[in-house]
Amino acid sequence: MTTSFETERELAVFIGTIGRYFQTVGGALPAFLAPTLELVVPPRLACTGYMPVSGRLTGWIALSLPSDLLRTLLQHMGEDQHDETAQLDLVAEITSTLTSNAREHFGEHLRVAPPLAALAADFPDELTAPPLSFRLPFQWQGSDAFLLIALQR
Amino acid sequence: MSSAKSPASSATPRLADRYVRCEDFAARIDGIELAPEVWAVFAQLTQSRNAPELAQTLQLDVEAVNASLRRLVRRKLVRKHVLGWRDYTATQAPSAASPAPTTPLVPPAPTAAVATDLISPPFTRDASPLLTPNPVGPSATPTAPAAPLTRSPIISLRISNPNTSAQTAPAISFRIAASPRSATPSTTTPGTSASAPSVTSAIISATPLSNSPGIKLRPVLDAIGAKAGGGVAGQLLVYRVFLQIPTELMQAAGLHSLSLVDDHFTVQHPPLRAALADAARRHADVDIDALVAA
Repeated sequence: MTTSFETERELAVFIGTIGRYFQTVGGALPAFLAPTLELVVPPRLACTGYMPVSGRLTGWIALSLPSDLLRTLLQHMGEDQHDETAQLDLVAEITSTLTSNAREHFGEHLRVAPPLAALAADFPDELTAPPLSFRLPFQWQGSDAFLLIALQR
Repeated sequence: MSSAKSPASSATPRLADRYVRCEDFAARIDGIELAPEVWAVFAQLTQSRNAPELAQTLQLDVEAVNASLRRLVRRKLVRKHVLGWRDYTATQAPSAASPAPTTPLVPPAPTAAVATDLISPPFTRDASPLLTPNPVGPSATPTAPAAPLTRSPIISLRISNPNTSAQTAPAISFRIAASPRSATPSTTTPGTSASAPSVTSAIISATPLSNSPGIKLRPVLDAIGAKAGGGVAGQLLVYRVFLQIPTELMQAAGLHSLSLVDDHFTVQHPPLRAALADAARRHADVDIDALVAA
């Protein structure tokens, strides 16, 4: 029996880094909404960054963002290009930053592999669908996005 | 087919990459417009630095510094700092330059102290010559690299307080969705097949019910979540508990998407109830029977 719930606290910290990223780069914290548990992997938004994890947890964490949110972020960053390529690149950059922080913070406790960025409903071949996923929606600058945690049993 | 790509920049090693200005940056710098924070990072790179050092010096978050570095690398104003072994040893004390492969650079932290033990104490300017202020401005000339690796590479922990998000996120409760495919996208975006969530009572009536009264789920979820301190951690513990329940049981009970919609849902499917009780006891130390009895 596990009573320390360290894993959940670590994951909560990881989720906190996402909020921190938007605050730092985009100037405002996202508003996290009510989470859901999903038996089927929900449809993803325009661009999704997948972060495979292993160690105490096995599975992946995904950040799925819509086009308007990505365009707003790119504008904040002073980028000229807002097209699909730039958006995908930005998602890759965000997830890369998040995984980098996760590695520094968690070390061997939570091994985070290099992220994978994918468009819309594309699903990386390297990943497997989980039996149940945790979907945490959030709003940022009027746009709806979500984080998906998909762990194996 | 997947169009997923793995960004080259994502394979960040635990040793933070060091960056320095490109020697020929002056040929490209005219006409480039960047945010002041990005230029502030650039101004520091007359000698090699890594993101945590820059963050410390500029009082910025590591995430912001990393984003700035990528912007600068993309514009070929900055490059990763690399040097040969002889150059490296020339800048090091003999003991520091000697290979010691059997000694881990960072001792493993105890499991129960992850959050604190991986944080190195903040640098002081006296303790690290790398933090000495540099000449500022694009015309400053690059200086010889000095990259002593005599301390833990895990320098800065810029992670927000989990309570921030924990306080804003409400607890989980159940909703019964019409089908697996109706799972809850909050927006519809070109390129996705997102559809609006659909709540139906049809599946509830189709679900085999026993004569048992069922258990109200919300108090159970609250009790499980409270074990991990509530908030997001608590919600994730609820996730872990439900992760242990066989998928078929949830499908048989008509549960496909569980969310904060119905505050009054009761679990009446006996096998699901039993599996939930077992998982809650084993993974969250929550006795559902005692909870219901109370």
